[in-house]
Amino acid sequence: MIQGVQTTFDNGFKVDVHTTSNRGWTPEELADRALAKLISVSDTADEQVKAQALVFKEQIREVLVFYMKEAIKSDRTTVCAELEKQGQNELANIIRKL
Amino acid sequence: MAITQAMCTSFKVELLNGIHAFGTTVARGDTTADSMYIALYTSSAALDATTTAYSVTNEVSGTGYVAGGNALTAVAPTSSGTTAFTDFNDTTWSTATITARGALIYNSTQSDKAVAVLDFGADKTSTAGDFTIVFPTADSSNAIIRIA
Repeated sequence: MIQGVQTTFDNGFKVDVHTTSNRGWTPEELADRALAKLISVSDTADEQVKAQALVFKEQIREVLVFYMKEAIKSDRTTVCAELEKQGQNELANIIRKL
Repeated sequence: MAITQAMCTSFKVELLNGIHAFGTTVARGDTTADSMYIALYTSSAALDATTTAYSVTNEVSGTGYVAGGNALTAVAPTSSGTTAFTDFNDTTWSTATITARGALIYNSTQSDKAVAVLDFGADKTSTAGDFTIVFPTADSSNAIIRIA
């Protein structure tokens, strides 16, 4: 008799839920989420390898945070320009000062 | 030469891609991927492995949330080792004031059929803020849909 081959769907999945109150995500918080998907360092890795990986992770984090802030600034410039075009100078000023 | 009995890894990936049909199947109008959605539910909802489709009963309501939930962006099915997997990009309800205890991932292209139930473990609340579901890393050990 031929034995069946068992294959399984893994039910061990887990999502995380992150929430904020009266604000959106900061570049630092988003960078941490991005890094968790990009780089994982095993607890059982060789100590030297682990240390190098963590330094690399921190360097990537700084780059991510910097460019996220640049993206926010740039987007606000676009929004402010559009608002000024529509004669909403006061609103544009509020956004510029955020 | 050797013969090793196994479920073929390519078959597992192809299952995720809808290539094989062992029973009566649907007539597909095109070759694009189905649209997957995620809906949020309150702690009053009854959702488990017997759930077959999306329902509005005990679905979350509040500022920044529209019934039916958010569309998900799927990661293309692939495999690592002998495990096939797919995953989704994180999804956010922005400027939302909502409380949810769990969620249902469902296929809106196929009559809202259920895919997976998620239990957050406790009520999660956003107040005039972002409510984000962070999906696990898309790999053979963590991805949300894995066939091992």
